[in-house]
Amino acid sequence: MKPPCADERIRRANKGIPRVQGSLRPSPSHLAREMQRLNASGMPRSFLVCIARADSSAKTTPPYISIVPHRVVCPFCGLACDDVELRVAADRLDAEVDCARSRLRFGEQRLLASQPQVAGRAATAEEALSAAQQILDGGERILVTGLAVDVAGARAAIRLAQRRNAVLGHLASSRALPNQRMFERRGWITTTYSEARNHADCFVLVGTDAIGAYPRFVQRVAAPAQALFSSVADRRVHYLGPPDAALAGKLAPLALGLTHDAEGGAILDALLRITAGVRGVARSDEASTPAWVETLQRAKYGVIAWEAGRLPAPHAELIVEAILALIEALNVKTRFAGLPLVPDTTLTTTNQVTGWLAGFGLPVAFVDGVPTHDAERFSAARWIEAGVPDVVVNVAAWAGAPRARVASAREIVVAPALDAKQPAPEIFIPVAVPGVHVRGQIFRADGVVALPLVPFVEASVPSVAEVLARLEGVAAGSALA
Amino acid sequence: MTLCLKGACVVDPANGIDGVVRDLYVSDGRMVAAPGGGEQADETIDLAGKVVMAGAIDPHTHIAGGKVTIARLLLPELTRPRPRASCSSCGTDHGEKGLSAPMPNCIETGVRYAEMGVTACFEPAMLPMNARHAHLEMADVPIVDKGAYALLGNDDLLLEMLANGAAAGTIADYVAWTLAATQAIAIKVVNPGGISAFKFNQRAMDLDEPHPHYRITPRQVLGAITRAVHTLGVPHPLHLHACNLGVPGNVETTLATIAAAEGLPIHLTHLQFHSYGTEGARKFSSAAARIAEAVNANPNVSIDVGQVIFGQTVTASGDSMLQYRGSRYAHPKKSVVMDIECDAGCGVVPFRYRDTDFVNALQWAIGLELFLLVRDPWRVFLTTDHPNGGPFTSYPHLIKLLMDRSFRNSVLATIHPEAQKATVLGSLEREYSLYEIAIMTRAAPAKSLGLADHGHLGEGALADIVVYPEDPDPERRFASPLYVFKRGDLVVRDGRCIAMPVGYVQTIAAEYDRGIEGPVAEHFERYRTVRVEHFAISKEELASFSGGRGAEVRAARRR
Repeated sequence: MKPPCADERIRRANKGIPRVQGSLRPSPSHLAREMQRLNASGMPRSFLVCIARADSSAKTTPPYISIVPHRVVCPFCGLACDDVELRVAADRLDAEVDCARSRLRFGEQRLLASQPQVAGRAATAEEALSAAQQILDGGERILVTGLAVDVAGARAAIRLAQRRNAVLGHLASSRALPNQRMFERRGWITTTYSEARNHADCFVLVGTDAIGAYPRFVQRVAAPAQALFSSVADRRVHYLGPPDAALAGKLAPLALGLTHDAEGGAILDALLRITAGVRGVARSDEASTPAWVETLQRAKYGVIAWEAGRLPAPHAELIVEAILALIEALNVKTRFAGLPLVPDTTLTTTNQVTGWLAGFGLPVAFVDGVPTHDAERFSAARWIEAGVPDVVVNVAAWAGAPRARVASAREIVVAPALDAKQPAPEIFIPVAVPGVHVRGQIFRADGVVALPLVPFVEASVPSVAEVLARLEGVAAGSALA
Repeated sequence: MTLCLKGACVVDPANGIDGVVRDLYVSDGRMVAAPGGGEQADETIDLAGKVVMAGAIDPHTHIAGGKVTIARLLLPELTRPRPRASCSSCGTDHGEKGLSAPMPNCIETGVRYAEMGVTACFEPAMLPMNARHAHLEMADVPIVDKGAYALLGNDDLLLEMLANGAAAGTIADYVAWTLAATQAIAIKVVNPGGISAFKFNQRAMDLDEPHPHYRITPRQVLGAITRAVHTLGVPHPLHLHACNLGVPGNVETTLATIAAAEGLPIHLTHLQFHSYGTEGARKFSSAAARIAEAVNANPNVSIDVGQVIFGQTVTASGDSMLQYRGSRYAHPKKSVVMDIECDAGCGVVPFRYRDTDFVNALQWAIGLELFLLVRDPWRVFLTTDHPNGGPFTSYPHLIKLLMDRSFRNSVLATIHPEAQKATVLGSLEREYSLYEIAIMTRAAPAKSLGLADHGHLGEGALADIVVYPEDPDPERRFASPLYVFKRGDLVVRDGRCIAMPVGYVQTIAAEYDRGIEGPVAEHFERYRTVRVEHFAISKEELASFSGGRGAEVRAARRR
């Protein structure tokens, strides 16, 4: 059968989206009336009406109009900015935001669905699902990973891992492992983005320029246009980490304060000396730390930020612990809080969902339907490295997410699209994208705010949750029902 | 399909029924009248005089939201497989495996509550900025109906409005808008102004102490919100976690707080933690008698106790100021404190209450003193402030302490000897009757929350029904109902969950002038990191959390 031409596919993709009635080139007053009608119907208040054209090859194609939510949530780093404007351009999304990562990742998402594949060849959805079920039925050490998913995807992945007695682990979890370990060992004092934005008069960056994790850290958190309690002009950011000549420029207009060049273990050493100074314990080799001690103690609301994934191994955990000890010491006399930077909303999201459904965070191993938590034994990264799994299910709700590759394992990929540059997996089942085709929610990495992902294109493939539900097979013992 | 529960000994205080044996009829999830004209029910269960009550309601239990999941993530080492007791009918272990933890997961929460005959639970401290998270979690709590109270009184938006002398009508509009945007059923205030003050390095906050930045006092904050809640016609009064929680001598704060309500309805929560004096060599004493006297004398006041139960638990509270202070007593030695989104804060501190510790032992006694000294069971609710005082699974034990004086005294005899001397508990003869327990756990919370169809077994009520076995031991009896029906579906048999339908979210819709949306949106635009349209939860979005099933909404009429 001849594949439908471009504008037909796009027309189908746009089916079900509210359209401006009547004219293809509506006058401003017509548009205004339509907006009023949509607002009265209870849909979200702000809308951006954009006019997109089909492929340029189809010269006679009329433009179509799709209503896209005015500002959308970007799930592609832990900041989860929700002021991104999207333009629909044929099959693609153009994000209008001053963030290259956001533009890149949105650009990787497709409105039109991919075709399922079995052994690298096109197949029907039923063929792919059936083949995947058979692989899982034969699996003895199943790893469900990837997990670049939203709340619904996380729930479904947990249920799948439970039904299949699999290990469930986020592929990027090693980035946040030092945080998880130190959190479980001693807890912490932290803050969230709006608090830092309005209260902080002092930022401390440890081993990171913050921009690498959160490209819009400066405009969204550290140096906003307006702040409630502390003037941005009076704020200082102090840096403790590898030498970075470009730092002042990266963080402008936030003014640079103290800098202490240190790498590897020297970062840890500096933190310990500063903490000892804050606690009033005498140390012999003082060098730069009295300035740090005095500066930090003078702050009214200090925020210490770090990116665990960027801290030098093997010191990462000790450095995180030292940061937490410093925060603890400073809070005796003034207010300080940590802000762990996690460049991945899906890490926080899946951890929260696992936390409330299983009772603890990832990784989780299901044995006889009962969840067990042991970050060492069931670390997805270690399993992959050691080639332990015989079946790997890579789950993602967004295109462009990394895949776990285990040479000796059979691989099932559940994702919106495949990366053409990578070898095809044994099974590929395409899914809808939250915030494009289906509703969803994700958590910001500061752990409190869950944001809505609002769809604007009709889905032509199932969601991650629907696909994973089909892969569950016969129910094992169910503590999580 | 009609179900007949034949020979039920009905204890239904909302309808004034105290132990009348009659047949109950259920159809389509509701209580109905007996079918006329000799028609038989499709199914009949002969209860032969067993006690039947409506499903119980827990009006204050931390079951969903950020701090609840923080408590889970913090203590994985305390999560253990839960041994399932044998079925009392046939002696075998029917059930599925579960997990026990100081803060159980959502599934365990719903199942364990239902297995005790509790059919509705309310999360008392939902931060507005965390509301979507709270509702997502609540959607995963099976069986029970649920809802949440929106936390106000430390949010910068409201504090600024109060500091600028905003009119009472504007405050009411903002409170109503918050109820709608967060899909809440009531309003909560925790340490009014204090959580915010902690962000400005203030470490304590008295009722008449001005906020370091806004210069308004907790009295002004709680007064304004109490009035707003009353004006809006929200059935449940302001649910207040008062200043100085846990501080020896806080009896004065609590008494002053009662006065600050100026006769308007107010609910003081986990009052046990607010009933301390400073008498005696250890400068820590019970002030329960004075507190109870004030509660008895002020009919506008309702309370829940927040009873301490000995053992390991975790405290999770919005009161970051006091949780930070308490973190030195953490057991295990770790804690989490957060400043949150210009909204509020939280603190999670694992804790172990020991009967060999003077303070903990006296806290235990103080809670019981409050239960026994407050006379009106319609104004006192049974809670452990789960999990802050203890796990909700200890309610049957707590009921036994209230109903059986000799048991109570036998436990009293085992606590720290000086604590025994410091309490009047041994001299309190009162024993709660079954009727009073039913008031306290069903009729009263339903009335207080405005849940007209819950908490009773009259015609039209929801068929949330609990059948208790004959057992002289109240703890065994309340721990293991024979049957629990949720909206007419049998969900528990012999204390074991056999089905997991999804319950309904309960919300309140109050009237407000939409003009409030402008200033709120502007505040969000200028100062927050979330847009207001991504903050608010619409009815459609909330329904999508439960597969399309919306909340049950009641309308509040403005006075």
